Amino acid sequence: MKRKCKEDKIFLICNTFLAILFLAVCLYPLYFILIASFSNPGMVSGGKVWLYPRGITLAGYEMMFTKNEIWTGYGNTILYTLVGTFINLTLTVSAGYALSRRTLPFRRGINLYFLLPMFINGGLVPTYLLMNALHLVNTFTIIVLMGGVNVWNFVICRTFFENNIPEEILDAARIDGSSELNFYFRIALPLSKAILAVMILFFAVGHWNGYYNAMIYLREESRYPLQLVLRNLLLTTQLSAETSDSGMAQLLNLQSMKYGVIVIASAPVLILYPFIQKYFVKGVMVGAIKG
Amino acid sequence: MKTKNTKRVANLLAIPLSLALMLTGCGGEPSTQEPGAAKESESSSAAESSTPSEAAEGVVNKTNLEGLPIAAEPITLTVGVSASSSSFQGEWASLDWIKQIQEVSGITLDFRVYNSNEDKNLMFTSRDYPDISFNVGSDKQILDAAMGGDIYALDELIDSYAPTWKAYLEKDDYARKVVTMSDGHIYSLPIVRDEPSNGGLRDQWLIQKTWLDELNLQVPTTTDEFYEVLKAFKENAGTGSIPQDVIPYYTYGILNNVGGALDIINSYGVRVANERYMVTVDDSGKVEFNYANEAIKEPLAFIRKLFEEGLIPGECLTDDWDTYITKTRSTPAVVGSYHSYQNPDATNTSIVAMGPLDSGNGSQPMIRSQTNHVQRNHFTIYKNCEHPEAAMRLAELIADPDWSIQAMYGMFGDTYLTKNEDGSVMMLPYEADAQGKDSAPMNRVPFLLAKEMFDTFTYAEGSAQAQRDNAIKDQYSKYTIPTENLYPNVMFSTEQVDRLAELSTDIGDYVLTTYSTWMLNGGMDAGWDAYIEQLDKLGLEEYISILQEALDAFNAN
Repeated sequence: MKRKCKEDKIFLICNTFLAILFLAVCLYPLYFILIASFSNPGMVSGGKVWLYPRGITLAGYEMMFTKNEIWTGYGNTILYTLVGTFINLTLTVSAGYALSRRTLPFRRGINLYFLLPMFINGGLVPTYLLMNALHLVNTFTIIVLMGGVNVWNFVICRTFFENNIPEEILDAARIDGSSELNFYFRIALPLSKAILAVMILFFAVGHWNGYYNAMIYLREESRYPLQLVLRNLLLTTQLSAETSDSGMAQLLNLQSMKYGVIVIASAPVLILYPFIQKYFVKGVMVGAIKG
Repeated sequence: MKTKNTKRVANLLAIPLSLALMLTGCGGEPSTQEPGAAKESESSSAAESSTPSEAAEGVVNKTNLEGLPIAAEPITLTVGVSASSSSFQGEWASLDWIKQIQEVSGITLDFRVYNSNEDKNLMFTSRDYPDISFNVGSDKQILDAAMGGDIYALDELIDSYAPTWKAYLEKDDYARKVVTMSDGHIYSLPIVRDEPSNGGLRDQWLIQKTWLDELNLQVPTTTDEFYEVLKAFKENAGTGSIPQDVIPYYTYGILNNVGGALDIINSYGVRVANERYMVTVDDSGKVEFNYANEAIKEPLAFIRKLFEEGLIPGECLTDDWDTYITKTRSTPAVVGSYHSYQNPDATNTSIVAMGPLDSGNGSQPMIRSQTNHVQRNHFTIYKNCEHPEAAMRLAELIADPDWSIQAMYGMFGDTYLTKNEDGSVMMLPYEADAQGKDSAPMNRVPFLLAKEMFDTFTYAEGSAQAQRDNAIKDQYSKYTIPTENLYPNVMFSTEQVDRLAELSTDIGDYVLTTYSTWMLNGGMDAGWDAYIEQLDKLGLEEYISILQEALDAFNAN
């Protein structure tokens, strides 16, 4: 018994050690960005900053405040995230619920219709041509609407509803005179807060971090989301071999700014996470284990 | 029961659907207004104005044939541009230069900004073109689109509406060759920056004068002296202002055209450059690949000696550009000598430019210049443009020396440039990092800065560009490799491009790894024959013949 405890102890210590190591590996890049944003850019690219900030300066942040495109981008991102998440949520959760009901006609067919594009899709060029023909290129609409139904998340929702909202509750509600719609809004949704929270997180983070659609479909700089502004900033501050020295001083200054921008761009998501995390584990696991 | 159920479910289904429709409807509106509506109104009015009865005197297609503004009636051109540039300058539409040229020309520029190769590719594959584009499109994309009939051949438009460009292309044969595509037509205008202080030299060769003075040494003029100086830097680490961790000589790799050690090789009279395809051109017009020339062994042995004795650190073969910049620009200085476009000390006192070194082997030392003064694909008019005349007149306006110089360096006024009464232009002293900030689009618009422009142009006293200009005039001009000996910006056919891409990767990688090994571990003499043999296997002969073929076609053009 005693020996076993000792082994347990060793196991625990090793485990804790490994866990801490893993945590450090995950956290370090974030920590580095944070300290780099306060450090002298020359020391950062010289590899002298790695445990604590050196040559502390707020120049990067000061410069950031003078760059309008960053703040326009920030505003755009917030707008895209709010509207986009709302649309995603409405479409995906509704679709998931509808297809979880066994009484839905052509359920199999519709399911297949949803799932098929996950494996076979038109590809970038045809999609672009379609969007262009629909006059959606360079519009607000395309950023919030594109990928409105996320099939992956739709399957998670469907499984969740199938497993957590039994037909019997619907029957009971119907006996009490509830309509289908009433049931969905007043019984099914309130019972599914966990999955809703998870979906909100998935979608919001997706929109917050998304730059690809904006890069492909937006042509006007004033519509760019923050991540695209940030991407361009990161690319232009990569001192290429073709950069002449006149641009170089400018670029070194921008370097100090880029870490600051990463910090302010990541902060909202990092803040959002802990609040939703409790649902996160519960919501996804419930679906996964039983499904 | 069953039917009732299905009905209800159908109703339920309808809700998200109708919601979705509603949302598309709402959001869709602005989109239809922008490209769609604008185009419709334009085309209808264009149709009206093209009827002869309504056209006024000297006006074609809403465009004044002479004078300013260019637009007789409001004209909007959508302009495709690249976002990526060497600087982060703010939105296109907010640049002073862009605002003013719109005002003067009467043409509204509606920018479509492309961020990556992906969306540029999409523009060409989907044929969803803007009216004109500035710096979007590769040779292949432009040529393919031209073959597909999507791009105006500019020849006639240039003849009729762009006298400045016409005169320049007639006079400067090199520029004409660069912009003329393989079918003999011009599909794009270039950007021209024939500025002696820019193209006349690639990198200055810099050395820490302060350290030399402290050690009582002269600026080296021969390779032997250079070696002695580097050795002295190393031996005196930690004394005076030479730091303990001194790096006597630091280069960005060996074979990089920017910051590399190529000018040591050139000092031995072996002509090498790496601006394009690692080749140079000999005096009879033959493409030469001097990296496989026996004569390069002598300079390589010298560089090897520097590596062996720790005068060049081994990590310079692997360091990235950021590290290179940080090390060479650090204060207090840690690097004794390096190659750089500009001298960080614009006064040329603590760090000075030194000439190419005499190797003592009897050959005239050389130093690299550049051939990047004419770059094509900077102005294209697409077939969906309703007003090609106005677009071409806009290009003509940009080619005006005043507009061109302001595009590069910032607006006239008291910040960037001053224009004197005699027409000469003076650059004002400003911080290097402020060049054209929020003012000029810099080298992203098709400007025309011919060499003559710079005869009356003076750089601000004490500016980095002034130092460079002086160094070129005083020290480098008699050593620089003439542009005829550098491989020009030729046009390749699609097949040539594909084949070259393969060959140049293989050959470039092989040369680089072999040279790196030789520099770090030695073994050049023993390995030379095997190296040449392997190069042959990799297709060096075919590589050179493709380059020769393209060069001959370019010269015959």
